[in-house]
Amino acid sequence: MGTDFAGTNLRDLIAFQTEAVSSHYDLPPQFFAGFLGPRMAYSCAYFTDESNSLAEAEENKLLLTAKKLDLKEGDLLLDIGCGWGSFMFYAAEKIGCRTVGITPAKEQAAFVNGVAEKRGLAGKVTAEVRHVYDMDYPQAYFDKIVTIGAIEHMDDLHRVFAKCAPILKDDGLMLVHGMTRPWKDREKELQGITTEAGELVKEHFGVGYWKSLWEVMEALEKNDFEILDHENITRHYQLTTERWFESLQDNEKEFAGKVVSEEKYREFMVFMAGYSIGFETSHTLCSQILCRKIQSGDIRPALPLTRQDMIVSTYKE
Amino acid sequence: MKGKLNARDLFDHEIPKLLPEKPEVAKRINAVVGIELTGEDGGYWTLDLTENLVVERGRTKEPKCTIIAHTDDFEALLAGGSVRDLLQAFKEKRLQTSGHLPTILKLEGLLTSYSKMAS
Repeated sequence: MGTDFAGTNLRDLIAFQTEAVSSHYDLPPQFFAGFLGPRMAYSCAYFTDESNSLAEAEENKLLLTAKKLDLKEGDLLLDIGCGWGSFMFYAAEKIGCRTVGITPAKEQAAFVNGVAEKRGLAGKVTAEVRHVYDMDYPQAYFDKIVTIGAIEHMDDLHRVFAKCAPILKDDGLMLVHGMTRPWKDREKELQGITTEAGELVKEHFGVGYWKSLWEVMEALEKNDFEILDHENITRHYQLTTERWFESLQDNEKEFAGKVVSEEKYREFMVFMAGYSIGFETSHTLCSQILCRKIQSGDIRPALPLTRQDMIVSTYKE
Repeated sequence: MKGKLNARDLFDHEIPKLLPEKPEVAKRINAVVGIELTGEDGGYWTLDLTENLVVERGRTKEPKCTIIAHTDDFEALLAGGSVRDLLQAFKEKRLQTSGHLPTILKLEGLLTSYSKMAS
């Protein structure tokens, strides 16, 4: 599946990416629920200790992300690539935020809105079927923006962040959480040197663009964001995928040939095993980048002097 | 080893010869692995890729993971060297595994590189 879109019409690109991404994420939610943690966060969890369960690590990650974003009651949060809404529900239920999520996958959006309805959160948690390039919100609309595990599906981060900056309030915060790869590997890909395994991973996810960390940071800086904090959480993703893999393996009888085809189940087994090796062997990396809008000459906000407020050291219920 | 890849030659002769020459590749796996090939020319081999780097006939140690395949399938997949074909064989259960699948994925790299060196 080619991912070179030079000269491609934007509407065609959006249509292609929407269909490709949906092929992965619109598998039955009960399949993902069977190996993800109880929050159904399909992204790196956060381990304060290697003995943390996946459920504990999921909570840690949500808490960590909320702390970094300094989420407050009443904040209007945009979640780009909201998945099954783990962070939206956390922000709405634990902190009292109003949340809007976008995803190109119809089943995901329907799942989020259905759960929101059941939990009495309709109006506080809303998922829209929307491609990131089609975001159309008023200027300075959101207090906070988050994107967790979604930049891997975005071909042009400059275009994405250029759309984020105007809709974020001047004193807002944005957190970008995503996978990257070492520059030397990325450089080879840019030169047209790809690996069969790399292409298979992209096909598994429908579409994928693993960039290097500096490319993500460059796209942020060139689109009026100042990077406030960066945390490398690669080891956490290795532990996360190891636990996902174990759950997949343990639930073979429930999944294979029932919720998904036996071939699809075995495909997920291989890729989940492969992801954990990818993190273990430094082929794939993961980061959280916190940023704010910046304009030279602006008076700087009184940001915390230390990282103390964005540390999650022990899991607490 | 010239011509058609032969699993028996690979595990009895070629890999034991190559292991000391490329120990760093094997040691990245750091596990005992079983290879169970069925059909004519089949057999069971134990690859100790921890400190010792030894290949032995039979199940001489408890493996962390095992690859199970028909000899013909296994030889064709290794000779082809296609990750896509390996994935398809696994999905279709022509390539079966037991135990720790991530370790088997690491082994794939070793077997592919060693079989290329041996051919």
